[in-house]
Amino acid sequence: MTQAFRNADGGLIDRGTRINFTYDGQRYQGNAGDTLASALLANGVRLVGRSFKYHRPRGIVGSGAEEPNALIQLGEGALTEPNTRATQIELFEGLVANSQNAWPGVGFDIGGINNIVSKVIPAGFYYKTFMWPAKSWMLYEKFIRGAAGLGKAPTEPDPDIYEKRRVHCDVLVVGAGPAGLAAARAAGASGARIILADEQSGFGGSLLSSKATVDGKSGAQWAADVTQELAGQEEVRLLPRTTVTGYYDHNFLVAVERITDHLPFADRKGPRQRVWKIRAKQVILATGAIERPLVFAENDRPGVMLADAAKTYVNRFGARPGSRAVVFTNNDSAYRAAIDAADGGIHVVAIVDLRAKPEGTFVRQARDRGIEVIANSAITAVKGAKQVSEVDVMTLSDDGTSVSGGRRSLDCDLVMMSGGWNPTVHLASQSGAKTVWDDTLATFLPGEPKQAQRNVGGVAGQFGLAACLESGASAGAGAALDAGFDAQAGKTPAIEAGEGDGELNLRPIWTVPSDRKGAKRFHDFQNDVTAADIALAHRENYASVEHFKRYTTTGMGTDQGKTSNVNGLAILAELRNEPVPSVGHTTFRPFYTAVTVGALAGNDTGPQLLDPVRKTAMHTWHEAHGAHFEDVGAWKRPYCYLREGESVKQAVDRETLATRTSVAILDASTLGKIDIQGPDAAEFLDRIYTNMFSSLKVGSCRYGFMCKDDGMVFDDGVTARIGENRFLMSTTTGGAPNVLNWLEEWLQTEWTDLEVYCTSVTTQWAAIAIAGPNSRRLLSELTNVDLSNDAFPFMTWQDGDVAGIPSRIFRISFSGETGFEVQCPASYAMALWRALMTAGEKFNIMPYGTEAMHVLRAEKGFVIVGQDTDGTTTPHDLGMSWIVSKKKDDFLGKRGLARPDTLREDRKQLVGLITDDPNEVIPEGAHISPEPHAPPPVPMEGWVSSSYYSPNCGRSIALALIQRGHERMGESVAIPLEDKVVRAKIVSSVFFDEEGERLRG
Amino acid sequence: MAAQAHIARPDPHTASDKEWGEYLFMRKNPKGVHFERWFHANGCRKWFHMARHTVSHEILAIYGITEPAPKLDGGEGTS
Repeated sequence: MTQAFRNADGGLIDRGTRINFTYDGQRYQGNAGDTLASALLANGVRLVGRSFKYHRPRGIVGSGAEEPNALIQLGEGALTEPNTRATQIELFEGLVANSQNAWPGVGFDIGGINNIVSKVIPAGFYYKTFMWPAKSWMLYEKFIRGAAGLGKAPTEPDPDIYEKRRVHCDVLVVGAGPAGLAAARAAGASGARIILADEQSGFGGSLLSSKATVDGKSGAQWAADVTQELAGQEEVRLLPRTTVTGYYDHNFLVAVERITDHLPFADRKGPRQRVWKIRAKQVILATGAIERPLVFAENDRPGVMLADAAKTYVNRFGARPGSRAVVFTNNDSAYRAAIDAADGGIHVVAIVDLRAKPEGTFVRQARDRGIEVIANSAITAVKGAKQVSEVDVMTLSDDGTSVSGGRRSLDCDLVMMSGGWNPTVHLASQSGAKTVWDDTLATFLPGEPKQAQRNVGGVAGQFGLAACLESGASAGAGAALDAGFDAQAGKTPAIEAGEGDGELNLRPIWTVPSDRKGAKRFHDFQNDVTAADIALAHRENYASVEHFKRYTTTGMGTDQGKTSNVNGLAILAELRNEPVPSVGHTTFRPFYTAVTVGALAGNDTGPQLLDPVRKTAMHTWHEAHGAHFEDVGAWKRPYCYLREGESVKQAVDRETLATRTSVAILDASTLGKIDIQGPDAAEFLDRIYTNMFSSLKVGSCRYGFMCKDDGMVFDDGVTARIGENRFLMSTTTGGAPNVLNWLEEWLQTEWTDLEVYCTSVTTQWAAIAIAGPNSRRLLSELTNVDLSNDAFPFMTWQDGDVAGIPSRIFRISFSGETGFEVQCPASYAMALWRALMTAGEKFNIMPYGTEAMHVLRAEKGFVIVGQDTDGTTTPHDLGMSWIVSKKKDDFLGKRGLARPDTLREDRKQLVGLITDDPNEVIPEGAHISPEPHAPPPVPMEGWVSSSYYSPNCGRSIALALIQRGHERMGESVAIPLEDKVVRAKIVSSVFFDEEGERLRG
Repeated sequence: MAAQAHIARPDPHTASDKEWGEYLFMRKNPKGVHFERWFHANGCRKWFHMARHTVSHEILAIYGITEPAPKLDGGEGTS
């Protein structure tokens, strides 16, 4: 294909380097320096998409991030990315792009029928039509989502890699247009650490598409020279292709750098994108401004384009977006665009101006060139289905609300419109600064900064080049000074701007009148929202700006209303007969432009990095022996070990029985272990635990409860006294980090007089519980330590070798059986585990998992903190008053346990439950009700905290917290379930070996 | 991890139920300067004090966990 609309010279593209690309299956050529949009225009492609709701043909409107129409499905397969803007895609060899929201294609689109029936699908149509019956929305939604929807998300995993970087700087300059470059140059000269970021590939911003000169050079040349100067400074970091997408508290900003998106696939190496997390002492926003469309009849036809965008295509890319242009404006800036378009080979048919008497430098220049100016007039119709062919022009009334007189038709294929400029206030607004309305510019400007931040250039409402350069330089020096650098060094020579003053002399006419009734006047191209939709929303009292936005969908698309918001608000304000600022605007939220999820995730993807798994030293053995794992905190623990053909319940029953009949072992490594040392360690534990630890002898261990200061149980575990000033505390698996935090909190904040040091040793020591009547015989085969009851009584510990491995043996038990726990350095644990399994063969040893452990402990009525307690449970509620010291002067929870609420007699107390039907296992969490058949809300008196089938008891057992439970032994209670009421009897919470003979034997 | 700072633990032997209840449960929720206790859980594991503005999130002061609250313009500066 030839580039029929490419000028022979001019612009910043490299005509010597041709680039092949495919768009909607058709092959085209562009040049190095092109965007996809400029290359399409150079090839005469005008129709680039179908609109969201009505499927109307649409063309390119803008030249940057504001583009509402030219949304592209970029790339194919796993690499495809939806909703990218053709105006921001740098052309590369082999690029494959497709238009969106059209089937079978943009030329003929079935959905276009919506345009014909558009009278019956106004704003709020979906809300009104598909609300009833409510259940049917699920059905409707499937079809609506299918017919609408813009791009398609990839279905395969993202093959690209991304990374994140954190960086500090003295001055961050956002935007490298004239103001941003001047600011960076001034600040950089002071020696401050500067970051200059711009979303485009090259620095220069508006200078790249302008014919203005700076310091006697072309704007683009000046920008290139300053960029080179900055690149040579050690403390300056230049970030092209980097969009600053969010501005948060404490001058923290997030930027996304596109590292390889512009390269041919073969040349892409390393990360695709990089997220920069920037903490800046000073921020200078030079984010520029976006031109505003005019809202006039049929202003969405392909070929109706922002005037400045047309200027950009001609000046920067040497691409003509049309051959015959009509300019439609309410301000002076479009005249400059008209002159440049004429210079670029476009025949400018006329400039239609809404103002009665346009005058000013550029107006005069246009007239001098012989361009016809049709003042006090409006375009009232745009003709041409897939491309503009003609516009009608009529005379405007004095008040701007109607048109009259004869209709003059102008033959054209391009309409360059300008309704003024909207400063890109997004980041300033996100930083906390309120926006302020400016009557002269008829738009919002960033207000008083709330953080260490300055606004320069277009975003500050400065549209003259000289003003931009001056305010940039001054802000750059000021920011460097405020960051602690020598501002004198930052003074740069005055810059001479060879261009006019940037006055707009704007006349806002928010809805341009037309004699054609019912002609659509779009203010939001992407969401297909018209002035009539705003009027409808207003009539139906969606008067609040937030309601109006959601009802009409204004500004809700992928462009987030960059071209539509201010027009929409102003039209609403007119309907409400109020000034625009009193209508206000919706909140500007991050991100400024869409960010791919992969970039935000960075390297933190997959199970290893996003959600790391903790494994014990014996994990691979468990895996090889049928372990069915459960997650406990971040740990993987075997729930049970499945044998061939066995169900989970069968495995749990087998393991539970084996522990009580012979011997079984449990990997208990995940329990928290905290090494506590210091001369005050014993006193410290006396304050932390409800029971006494200072009286514990070296070589012994004690089970302890910790309460918060309100008296509620918080954690439990066995703590051993290792030395006079040293204890080894064990905690619950899930509670380990919180317990360590708790200990450190009290030591650091309240008990600074105590000398105690706490260290987590959870992963240093592996732990194996050996339980069952044969546990002593098994262990004695592997150690010389005398394990007899006299030499090694219950609740003591001893050091010794086990299977040749240096170990610490504890005579403790959570199963209620004779048992030992052997701890050894984690790196020896697998060998120890294997040695036990081998030596245990003659006892039919088997490993048991967490569920058997739970059943065994429930048979004994041992509580699990967090399962049988819920943060409102005291030791007394658990029937464990014996663990609360009466001797100690104080401990955490002592005073709390004496509060009237904790002494109430109707508190929920832990009891056992046995169901009338011994095979009925009550679901855990089930409520207990005194009146199970009462109408809702059914009164409740407690709940079931633990419930299992106990093979050792030959029946189901349960633990429950029930009001006044301790005094209600033998009482029958009701547990209402979804389909029945289960009856059970309140019993002691100890179901097995109530005397504890096995434990101590 | 942040919580209101400078809450003295009353003497458990003499504190009334009401005083103990206030120590346990009653917390300020000011719009403005708030004195807080913070814990650098994933770093040096140090507890420290911070005066923070709850509207602007501006950090007005950082000081040791055993130090009293500094006097700040517009702040409460109590205890």
